[in-house]
Amino acid sequence: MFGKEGNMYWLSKKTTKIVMILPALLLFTLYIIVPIFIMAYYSFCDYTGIGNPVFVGVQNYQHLIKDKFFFSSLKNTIIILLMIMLLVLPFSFLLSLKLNQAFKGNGLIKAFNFSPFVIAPILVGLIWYFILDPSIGLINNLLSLFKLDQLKQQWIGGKTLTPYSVAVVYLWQVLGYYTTIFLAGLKGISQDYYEAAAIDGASYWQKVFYITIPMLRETIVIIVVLLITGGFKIFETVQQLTGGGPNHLSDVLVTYMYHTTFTTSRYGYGMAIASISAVFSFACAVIYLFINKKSIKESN
Amino acid sequence: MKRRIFTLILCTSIFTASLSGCAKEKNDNNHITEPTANESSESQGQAAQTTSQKENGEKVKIIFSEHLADIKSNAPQVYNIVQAFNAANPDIEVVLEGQASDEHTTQMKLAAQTNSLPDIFYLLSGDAKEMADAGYLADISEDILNDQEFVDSFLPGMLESMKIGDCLYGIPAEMFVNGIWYNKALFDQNNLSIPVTFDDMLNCAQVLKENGIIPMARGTKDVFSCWATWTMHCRYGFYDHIDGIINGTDKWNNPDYKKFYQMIEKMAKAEMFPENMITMGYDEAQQMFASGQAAMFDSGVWDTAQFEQSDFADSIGFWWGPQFSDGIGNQKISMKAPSHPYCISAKTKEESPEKYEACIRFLKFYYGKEGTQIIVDSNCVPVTKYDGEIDQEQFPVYANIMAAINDDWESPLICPNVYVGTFETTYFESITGVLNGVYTPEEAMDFLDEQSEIQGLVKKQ
Repeated sequence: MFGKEGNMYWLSKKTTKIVMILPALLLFTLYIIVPIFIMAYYSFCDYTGIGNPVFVGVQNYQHLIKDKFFFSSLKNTIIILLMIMLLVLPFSFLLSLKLNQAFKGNGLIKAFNFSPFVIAPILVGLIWYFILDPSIGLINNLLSLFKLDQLKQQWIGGKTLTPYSVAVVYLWQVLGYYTTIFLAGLKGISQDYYEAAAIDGASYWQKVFYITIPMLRETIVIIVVLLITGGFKIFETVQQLTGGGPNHLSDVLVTYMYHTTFTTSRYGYGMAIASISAVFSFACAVIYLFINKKSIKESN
Repeated sequence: MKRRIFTLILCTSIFTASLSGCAKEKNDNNHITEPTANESSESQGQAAQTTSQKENGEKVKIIFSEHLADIKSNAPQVYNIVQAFNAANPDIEVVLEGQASDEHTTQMKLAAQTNSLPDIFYLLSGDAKEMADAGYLADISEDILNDQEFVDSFLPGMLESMKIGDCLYGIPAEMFVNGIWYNKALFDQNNLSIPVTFDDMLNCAQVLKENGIIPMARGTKDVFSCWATWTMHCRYGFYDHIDGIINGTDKWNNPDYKKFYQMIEKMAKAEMFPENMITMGYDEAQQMFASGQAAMFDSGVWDTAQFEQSDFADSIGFWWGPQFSDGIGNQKISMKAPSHPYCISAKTKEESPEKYEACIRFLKFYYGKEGTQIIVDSNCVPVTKYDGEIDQEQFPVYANIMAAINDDWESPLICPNVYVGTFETTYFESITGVLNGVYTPEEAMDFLDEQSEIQGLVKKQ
């Protein structure tokens, strides 16, 4: 009744596959692909959001090259990206190693660790505003309380530290999420490898370096790509902590794009920033995947 | 076969559910006119369509979109007028919508693109002029300017700001009455007089600071919150140069404006403002003043109702800001200029005459005697003439600001930010940049010159 080669034969038919994929493909095209082309078109236009866009060629990109705020936003984005690579990847991996072991309160720690991820990013920004603010923030007030005034810093709102603070806030926010992904990867590694290594006399860290990390390669690739794309998308935290200020010095590409597009009504210029941001994000992810693929080939 | 049908139904259901999930949710609280609470969750576009239908027999429904999320609290006069109008006009229902300022501006632009603008809406002046040029706004001159009695009820100059040629495209929502609020009790406690000149102000700031009081509350995270500085700029010849700048014959970097930015720098260097000014917004600065931590606050008339609730309302006064010994021209300059306008959609006028007529009736109610009385009762300043008296004991803050408005100080016809239109944010950034110590005066002016070219403020000859 359901086909000549078994009940599930119909599922492998081309038509069925197309029908199954089509809804997602349509949505993806409608909400991702088409807007990307629209964005690219507007980036070549002078457009205030009212009336018709006027095609101006590469003028917006020429202005971009001279725009010091664009470059400071790019610099801040790169700092945040590097910081979250250095912080989130090792911390979430080490935490997942610990949480993969059975101990009392394991479930509770997992729940607490994951909880910041379910808080709306704008609230995360608000919470950390009351921690990092140089005047009313918890950190500087605690330092004052312990007579450590010389350690007080302008954690946010200054000319230097904001991107580093944003990276720390991001770590707090996503640590649980990436730990969970690592945990899922760890569960997939057969215990036979560890038992064999133990018989050979391998230490804990030898098992980690020679079994766990190589076996988690795919998971690490996914996490790095997610971190790259996630780093380029940080918006609410910066917006809530400093609003990009003072005078764009703490802006990242997305907040600067938002400001240009919606606050100063320069849609065309904003879309040029968005296009560059998308290209950077895409290029970083592709370069990383390419290098990773090459190293896998070489190691094989 | 059954399984295929099941799969098909499943796929269709998922697809439909996904699409409906993409529909934008809207906070019901943003629509605050009680009778239409159920309809309030509709999107703006949908709401605009709904208004084309007459409901409840002959009732004409019009959508009025404001730039505040909580209209009842932040613009009680608007809320109260809508309630009163709906009660007095059973054949019309005004549905009041509200959203935060930035979101509102974006929404109006998107609505214009999709031809789904609300019937009446608040717009920034710069955007209003562009929208009028693009044909999105109704020309209301015939229905407003031909009614001489109605026109005469406005304060001088209030209807001029939204005139393009002979056509009128909007009516100012309120007055820009910008200046500096002060807490007289804090000045008295420190044996200080209310300053008159810039030097007086710096001296007061020094004494207040030494006694642990923040001289002036200010939050530069919201770059727009520098209202009093625009009036100060007028005392350094803002209007002597701005037309030349727009025509390309003058520069922001000129000797008069340099004095203005040097004065801003002096205020910053005198540490007149809170330590965390950079991470503070307007609301926090307002709270700082309202809680008695700061002696002065750069703001305007819109805070009247808020300060009237204060424990020390009796001691709150309003000042037009300092005069300058090196200023340009008349130093007794105030700011009593029209703010951004309420406009009517061109689509409403063209496609629904009965709705357009309802909009005009609403505007005439809003700016008529009943509306003006409600505005005054809500401790707000009308753009129309008001002959009644204000109870100084019951409303001391309001009485003080009305006294300032009725003084003989000259005011520009248009606020500097309204004059430069969509360039206003960049103008604000130049001021906050100097306040924050990011720019020197020269850098701020060069920044403006560079941006004027890039953003098209300078009209190409």
